[in-house]
Amino acid sequence: MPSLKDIKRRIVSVKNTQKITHAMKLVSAAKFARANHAVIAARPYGDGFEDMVEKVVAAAGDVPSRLTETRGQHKKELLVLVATDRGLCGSLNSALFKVTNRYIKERQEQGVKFDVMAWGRRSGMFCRKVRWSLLAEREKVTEKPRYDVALDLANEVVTTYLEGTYDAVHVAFVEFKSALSQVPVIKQVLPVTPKASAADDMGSNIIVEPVAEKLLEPLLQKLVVSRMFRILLESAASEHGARMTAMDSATKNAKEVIRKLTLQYNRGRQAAITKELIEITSGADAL
Amino acid sequence: MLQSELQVRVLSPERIIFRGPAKALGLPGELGYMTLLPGHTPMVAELGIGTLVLESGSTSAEKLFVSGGFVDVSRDAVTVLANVIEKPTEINVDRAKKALVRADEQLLQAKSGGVDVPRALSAKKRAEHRLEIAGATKSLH
Repeated sequence: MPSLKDIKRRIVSVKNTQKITHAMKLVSAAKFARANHAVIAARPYGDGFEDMVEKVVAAAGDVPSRLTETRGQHKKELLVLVATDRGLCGSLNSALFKVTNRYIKERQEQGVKFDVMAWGRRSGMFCRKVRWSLLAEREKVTEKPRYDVALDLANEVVTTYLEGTYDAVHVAFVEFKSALSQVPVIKQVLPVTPKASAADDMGSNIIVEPVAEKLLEPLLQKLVVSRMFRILLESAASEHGARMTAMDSATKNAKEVIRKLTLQYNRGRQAAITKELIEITSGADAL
Repeated sequence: MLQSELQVRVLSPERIIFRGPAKALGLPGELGYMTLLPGHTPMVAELGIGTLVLESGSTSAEKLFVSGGFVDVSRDAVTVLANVIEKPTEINVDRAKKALVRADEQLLQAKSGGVDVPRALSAKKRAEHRLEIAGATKSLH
């Protein structure tokens, strides 16, 4: 049985923790609102770009591109693991790592070798722990996802891919559904697969300027950038959303702990008083 | 049926810049300026550096700075997917002026070599268009 003083100290300590988690929740809520807004604001461009590429691909017909063709046997692949820089965001990272780990194990059994690009500090930490061969490590990619950051990163990935060591590039990240729901997914980014063209009356009779064949290559590169940008935005929104809910439940939990401790404290205090009273009365009786 | 208006969306990767109807849309294509009018054939074109002119009819034309990107035209719906797009109020005039001076200096030294001329030229073009749209005077020296 802890002494009254100990209980009191614990109450104070839990209260301090609660203050921190509450503050973190508020900060995350603000950051989440911004990230959520950014995801929504970027959607029209992303969708518009997909539609346009679809049309140009339809117009250009089967133009061979190094970015779209599949490279026969999958021997070696590159995986980009996008995680957060900081912890305290619930099971966000661990869920992502679990899915990724399972995926890599599965593929390795099929004889595929993997190199990993780790984006985000937690990602690097995990990769070192499980001893995956790290190709590159980056931090702070999702902190403030800007288009030029996505451009840099996508270019890095595309250049690495075009060197020819890897047969495919996948990205593992946490897809953003809502503040309460984030789903870890693994998506293929290279070779690029533009959306299948819908059977439309357009397509072949569309003007493409300059020629479609020449436009296609930069267009596909930009498609990778656009998709990468979306991945970064969604990762950021997921992170803040997860942290917000995690900190909210931590604050609630702290409240519950404080309630229980206070009850225990009051009981202990009451017991002490009763004991003292008994001592006094029995002392008086003895006289 | 010929419609009298274009449904225009001007988008940057990060946000929607403009969305609404327009009578005409002037664009700097990679191969030269073009003006899109209602009833245009479906088209996809690459954009260069220059001024996007949005004629909404009643009010005076709105001008925006564009640098790179694509335009997607389909059945009177126009989607501009720009790499960089700035409203007149968003243009950093000081930076543009400095960029213009720098580009000019580089072009003067071009003969002695070591200068990426196409890059300096497009930097100059960007700076000039930015200043023009922002309404700042071009004379500096």
